[in-house]
Amino acid sequence: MKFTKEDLAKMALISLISAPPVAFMTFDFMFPNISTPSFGKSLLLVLSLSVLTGMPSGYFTKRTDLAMVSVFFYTAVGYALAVLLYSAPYTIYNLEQVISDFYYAMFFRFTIILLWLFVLGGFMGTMFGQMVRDWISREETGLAFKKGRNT
Amino acid sequence: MSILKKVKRHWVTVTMYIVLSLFFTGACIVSANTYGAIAQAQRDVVLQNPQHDAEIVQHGNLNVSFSIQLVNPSRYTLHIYTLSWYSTLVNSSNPTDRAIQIGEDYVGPTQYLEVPAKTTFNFTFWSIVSDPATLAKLTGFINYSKGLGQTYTLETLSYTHEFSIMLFIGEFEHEYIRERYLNELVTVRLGYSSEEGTP
Repeated sequence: MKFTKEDLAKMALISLISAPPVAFMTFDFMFPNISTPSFGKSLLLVLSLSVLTGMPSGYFTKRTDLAMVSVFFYTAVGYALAVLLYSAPYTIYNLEQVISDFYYAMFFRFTIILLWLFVLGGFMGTMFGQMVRDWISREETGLAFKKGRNT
Repeated sequence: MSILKKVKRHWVTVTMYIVLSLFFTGACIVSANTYGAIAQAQRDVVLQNPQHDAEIVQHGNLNVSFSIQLVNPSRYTLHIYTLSWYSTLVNSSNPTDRAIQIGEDYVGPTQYLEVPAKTTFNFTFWSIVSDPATLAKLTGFINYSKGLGQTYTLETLSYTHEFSIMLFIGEFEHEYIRERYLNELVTVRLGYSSEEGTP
């Protein structure tokens, strides 16, 4: 699997767009009572949003392998962002209420299913994104031919 | 360069996703801010100015009172879940009845008491001791202490006051029974004991 500079730039852009929903869903999954808005730990909603989040990587990337790597990449970035959100009271407000054990408990033990959903939803979104792109491309080609015949 | 071209070509889709991303970025910021404010409230909500008094009132009855302030500088209303006050006298003269019960009060979750945001709330409790049996125990203790060379009156006896309160911050109480940490996150537990001193 070879990456060009353009591929990496594209992956970085996709991660920038797709990471915030992943970060929010992770934080919301841990603290549904204080997050705004809240999905209330609904895994179906998480999967649906994961599909939506995965769509740009399929829509903007022709290479399927690259699109799938993008899914892993933005999930990792989003997760890291969620860790930062959890640390916000400590880092921003200098408060010691943050429980260090929670890093392990919340981000490595309780959220395995969540990670799996992000990746699965991301792959589904990737495929859906590619289908939409191909469908738009076919429509455009069809219209161009029609236009050509009429003139 | 080719990325920019693609972005321009698919500007509707790109804009849509940027809006979606911005929405969740905003949600992340709002949630982290709430989380920070809750952590701050847990540190800033304190008890202060505990005061206790005992005086003889009509018919020789004893009035034992206790007051304490709860300072809530946070932006959230605090909902009182439980609140309790106990006043006793430690009776070292009697090995079987070591604590003489003077007064008590308890407020449970069904009372719906609130401490509004950015306010200081005063709690005042008092108990009129008119029971002759209790008064006799107190007088007995005074007489016992006199024998040991310590002079007390009903008003100067060292009554102990125990106060504890459990509050929920804002409307963040949750209903998931299995995940207690969610309620722990928004719970403030404070206590004061006159034996230990400052709250």
